[in-house]
Amino acid sequence: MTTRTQFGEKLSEYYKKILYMGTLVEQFIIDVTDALVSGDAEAARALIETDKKIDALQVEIEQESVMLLLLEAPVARDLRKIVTSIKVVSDLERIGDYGVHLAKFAAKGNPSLFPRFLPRIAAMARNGASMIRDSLTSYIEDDENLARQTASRDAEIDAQKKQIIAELIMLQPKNEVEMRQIYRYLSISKDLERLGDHITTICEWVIFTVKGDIIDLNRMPKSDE
Amino acid sequence: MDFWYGNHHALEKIEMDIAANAITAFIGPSGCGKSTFLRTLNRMNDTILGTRLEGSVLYKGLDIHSGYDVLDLRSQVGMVFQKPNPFPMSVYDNVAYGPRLHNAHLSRADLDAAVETSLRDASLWDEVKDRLGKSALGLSGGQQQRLCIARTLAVNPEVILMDEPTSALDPISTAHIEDLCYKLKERYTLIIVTHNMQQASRISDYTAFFMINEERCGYLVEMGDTRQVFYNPRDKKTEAYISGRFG
Repeated sequence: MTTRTQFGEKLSEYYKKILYMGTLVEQFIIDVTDALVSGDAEAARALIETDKKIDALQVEIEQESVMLLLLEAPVARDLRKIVTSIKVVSDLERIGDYGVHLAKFAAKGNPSLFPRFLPRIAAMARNGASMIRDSLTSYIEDDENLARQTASRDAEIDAQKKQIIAELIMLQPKNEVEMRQIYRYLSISKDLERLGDHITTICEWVIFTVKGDIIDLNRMPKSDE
Repeated sequence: MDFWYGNHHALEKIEMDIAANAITAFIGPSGCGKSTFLRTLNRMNDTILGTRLEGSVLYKGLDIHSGYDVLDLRSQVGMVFQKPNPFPMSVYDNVAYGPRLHNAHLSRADLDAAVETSLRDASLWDEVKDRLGKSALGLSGGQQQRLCIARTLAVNPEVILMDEPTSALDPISTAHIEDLCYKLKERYTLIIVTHNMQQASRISDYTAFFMINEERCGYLVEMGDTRQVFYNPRDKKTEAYISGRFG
């Protein structure tokens, strides 16, 4: 049996909490997407509350991170993983915010004037949710290969977003309501693309845990904000 | 080099370069030979019967066994021990002891200057300047250790070996000694054996990690830039030791 068992137990609980936060965010994105596609405004409204839990978890985990650094004086991989954890929860919180944008749009309950975009937006979101899961798995298991593979899937989301935006900007809105909805779809597509970027960042930090190097994984030039 | 205490093979195939004007820390579990290795660097192990060294230790390109008179070597490669060991004499005489031994014709003025310079360099002058004639045994533990450092500095070394210099001291005295090490490395080369890994990571430029094998022989696992050793060690044994995971 190795020494520092208390530290080992603390770390185990700490990582479980981060995994829980990741699972919460993943499920949030899935549920919000389902509400958007099915037009369930009430479900979407109820889901907005999830973001408060996500934000609270980030604060809690950050405080625990500081305590671990202070009290346990970790070095090497332990140190790198705690630093990574602080970054991971920050990225998860931002992903949660994008979920809120989606939920607020779905909560309006307005019928889609351009229904052909909904399944494609849903596909982007579900792709993103599955990437959240894989990136968190790579984080828990210190799996560099899985991190790289997951990050490479960001290209799919980027391609999906590019295609959707190319079509949206060609639309000729007949009135202000249509214009607003086009704008909403543009905004959501950008959010989902940024979601992919945040997952790439998580994967980069997993590689930092494993290798000690801070790297830039398959960065595409960002489209105009 | 390899080292034996009688028939006991204490150090195996140690190979390293020690950087000048830097602090190198030796870390590792008890019994792994860190202090033994430290003592080979100024031939302090010669004072122990039955020891044997194979290989060579080079200081400024010359073998320390054939290229130097042992007393000269020990003034150039000085040593500070874990337990402060001031001589039972005045503060002044402690520091003046070495210079007097090396040069019986030093004038009083030169000796005074040497003592003051050494005590200033050891960050102790202000605390003892008004009690130079009083017994060194009346100083606190931390002051005694700085006095031992001043005594070492008084014979103009280039290298200072420190064997757990702060393990017997309180945190404030430890902090004084660590600050002193930062100051000293500008002009000297320091090698410090320490059990305190945070001390090693705080003050050293390079860290050498020693382990002990099943035959209870010490060996060098890894040596490198301290930041690299503590941030991303190459060897799993190093990672386990510095992370405190034993067994």
